[in-house]
Amino acid sequence: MLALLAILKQYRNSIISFLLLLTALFLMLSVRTDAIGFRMVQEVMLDVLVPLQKLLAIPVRMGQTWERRLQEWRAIDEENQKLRKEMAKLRPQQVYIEELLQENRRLRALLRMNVGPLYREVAARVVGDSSSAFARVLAIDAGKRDGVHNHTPVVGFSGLVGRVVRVGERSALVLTLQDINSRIPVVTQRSRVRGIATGHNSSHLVLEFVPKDADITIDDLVVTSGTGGVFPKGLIVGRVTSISPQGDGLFQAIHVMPAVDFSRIEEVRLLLVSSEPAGAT
Amino acid sequence: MTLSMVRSWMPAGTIFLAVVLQNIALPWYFWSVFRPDLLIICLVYWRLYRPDLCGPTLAFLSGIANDVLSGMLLGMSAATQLLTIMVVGHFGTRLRAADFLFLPPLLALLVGLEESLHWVFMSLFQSVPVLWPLFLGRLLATALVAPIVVRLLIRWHRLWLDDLA
Repeated sequence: MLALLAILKQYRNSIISFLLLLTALFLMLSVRTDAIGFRMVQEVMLDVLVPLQKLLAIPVRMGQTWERRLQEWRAIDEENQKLRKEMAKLRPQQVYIEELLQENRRLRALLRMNVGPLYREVAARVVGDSSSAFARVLAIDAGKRDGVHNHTPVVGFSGLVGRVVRVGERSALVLTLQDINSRIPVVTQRSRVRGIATGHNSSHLVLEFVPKDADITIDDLVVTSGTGGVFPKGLIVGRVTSISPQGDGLFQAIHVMPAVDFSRIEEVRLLLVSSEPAGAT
Repeated sequence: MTLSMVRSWMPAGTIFLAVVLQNIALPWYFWSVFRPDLLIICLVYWRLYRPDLCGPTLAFLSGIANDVLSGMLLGMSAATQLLTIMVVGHFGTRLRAADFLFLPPLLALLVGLEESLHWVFMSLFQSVPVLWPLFLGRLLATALVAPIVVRLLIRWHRLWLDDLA
């Protein structure tokens, strides 16, 4: 017994390493990561680590804000000089411009369409980005407290970003369109051809299951089709950049460039299903 | 007593700080390509010079934290970090005696091994393309940043842990 204990003590580190390695392999191969216990551990870790990331990014954001402000001041100064000169020229047209402005306002109001009466929006800041060779996931500073839940669609200023896959109390992980696990039902805006936009951990998406005879041209706008029940209809996904027939296959290989520039994304909006009835204020 | 306990947690603190820092979002394109693997630098350093404060449990937990923050397969990074410290522990004496100049290529090699293992693990579940710019960018960034990070760690080590048995 004592000899066994002595052996255990001597090889303690090796035994622990071996057991932990087995645990890691077990986690990878057989445990469903969406099981409640594991999900809770992950959510707690997210809630601890993401605020820390946010804190560490403050100096960078401050520097950026000051740099932007300086550029803006310089631009404003130059613009001010130009405008002073132009104002002298444009004064006679002031009334006409006022008319145009009012018309412009009216048209803008007419065009300002919501995504849908069923959705309300919550803004969030991107605080974590794990662009690695194997995953494309963003961490954001909004969570259950803000009404975010799994599969909440996430959009940027120019189009769809992805969907939420893990939610903490104050933070969440967003699976971007570019991630290899992302599959989004889409339709081309012009010809209404349906397909599935899939991520490949690269800058382009691949439009799958599009028949060879489908009417698709370069630069066609690709939007969400609304099928599948996760994304609302009509969110911009990107534009077709290349089309190539795949030998004897049934489908064509179509590449789509996402509308969102993922390397520069800083803020996102989350589309939450509204509990208020449509049209309520 | 309390202070020495807090000090003994410093390696763990730097390792988790590394996990948070390497997964931070910065609005520059180069950051997504040349993102150094700070976790491996810290793990290797503490495993070499304070193996009593940097054991397999810490490597496992830091790997799990990295998996959660980076959205990778749970357990993947934990397994590779464990294997890394096992390798480093095995060659510890020889590595400690090596010149400082060997540090960048050594870390680049370890990052290369880690990324290759990630690819192997991922390939068990689905076909994954290797994105060479990101793969090589991480290697290069880690090798370039390693001397600076190690200098910092040496400084903290001397300041806080030198007199801690």
